[in-house]
Amino acid sequence: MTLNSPTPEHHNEQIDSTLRVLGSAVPTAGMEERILVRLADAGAQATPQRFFSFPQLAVGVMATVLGGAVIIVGSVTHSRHMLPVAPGIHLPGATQAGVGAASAAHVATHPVPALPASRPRSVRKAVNGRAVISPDTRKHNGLPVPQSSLNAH
Amino acid sequence: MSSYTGQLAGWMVSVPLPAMTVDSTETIAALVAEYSPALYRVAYSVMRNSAEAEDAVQEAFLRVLRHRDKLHEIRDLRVWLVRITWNVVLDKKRRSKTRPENDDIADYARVLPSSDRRADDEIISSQEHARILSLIDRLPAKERQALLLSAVEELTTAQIASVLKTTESSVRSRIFRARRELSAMLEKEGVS
Repeated sequence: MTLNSPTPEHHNEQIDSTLRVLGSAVPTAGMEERILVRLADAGAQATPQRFFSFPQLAVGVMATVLGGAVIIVGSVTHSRHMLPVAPGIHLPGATQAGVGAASAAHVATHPVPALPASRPRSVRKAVNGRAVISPDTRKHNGLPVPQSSLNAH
Repeated sequence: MSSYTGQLAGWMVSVPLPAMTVDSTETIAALVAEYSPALYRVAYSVMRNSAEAEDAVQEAFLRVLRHRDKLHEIRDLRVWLVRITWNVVLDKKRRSKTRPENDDIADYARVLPSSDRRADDEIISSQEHARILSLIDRLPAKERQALLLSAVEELTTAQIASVLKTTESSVRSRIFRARRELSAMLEKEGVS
């Protein structure tokens, strides 16, 4: 070994020697057993977590189902409360509580065409797109009220 | 099969998962027996501490345990295990952020049986080993990682390339550059 001017070969030998020492490290005795013990401990701790994970999953599924049911029921209820509105006819309907005067019913003086098809589907409950007026509706005599297609049949 | 393996089989069977069979227990136990020394060397090349290296190997096998259902899909178990261990030690190293103060490579070089050391190793002191290792730590990450993995004799260049997710030629060039830079640093610092 030279102390004054080490050659590149000497440096390579030093590097090789260090890498050999590094790559030939030997674990202390009993490492395999210690690894297996730790794996066993980890497995023993993992079992209760799996036990508690089931209720968490069940609660999540139930919450999802409940949320979906609320949305569906709310949507259906909302649709059922939307009464069909005949164009041009304003009747004292469900929005008015109590007994209203007969004059509260405003009937158009001439036939009113149905609204375009762009109306919300839930509202278009009239047959053939035309307004259906109850026969019990109180009307002034002589007013041109469109004939209901239901009555024709 | 040791008593520890039997203990391992006990809890595995009790857990109600299809993948948890005695076969998987024996497979993991066999992996520990076959690969733990090589994985220890991989971990030791980075951690430079016996206890920390063993802890890293244990952590690697814990990850194997979590992904035991994928064992049958693995084509090269050695590369897979080395990659897991490599990620573990890099995580540990990243968390520590500092050079290991309890670096025992010098002690290891000192206590290594003389029959395991070549004649040219004898002339290099443990202080020189520690000095060269500190220079290795100053290398760029890619070069340093390739050089450290090349020190593990069980790994071929192709396996190192697979672990580092690169090509064999890239690994060779990284090792070449690492050695060249290391030699230059030794020349500059006058380590003899």
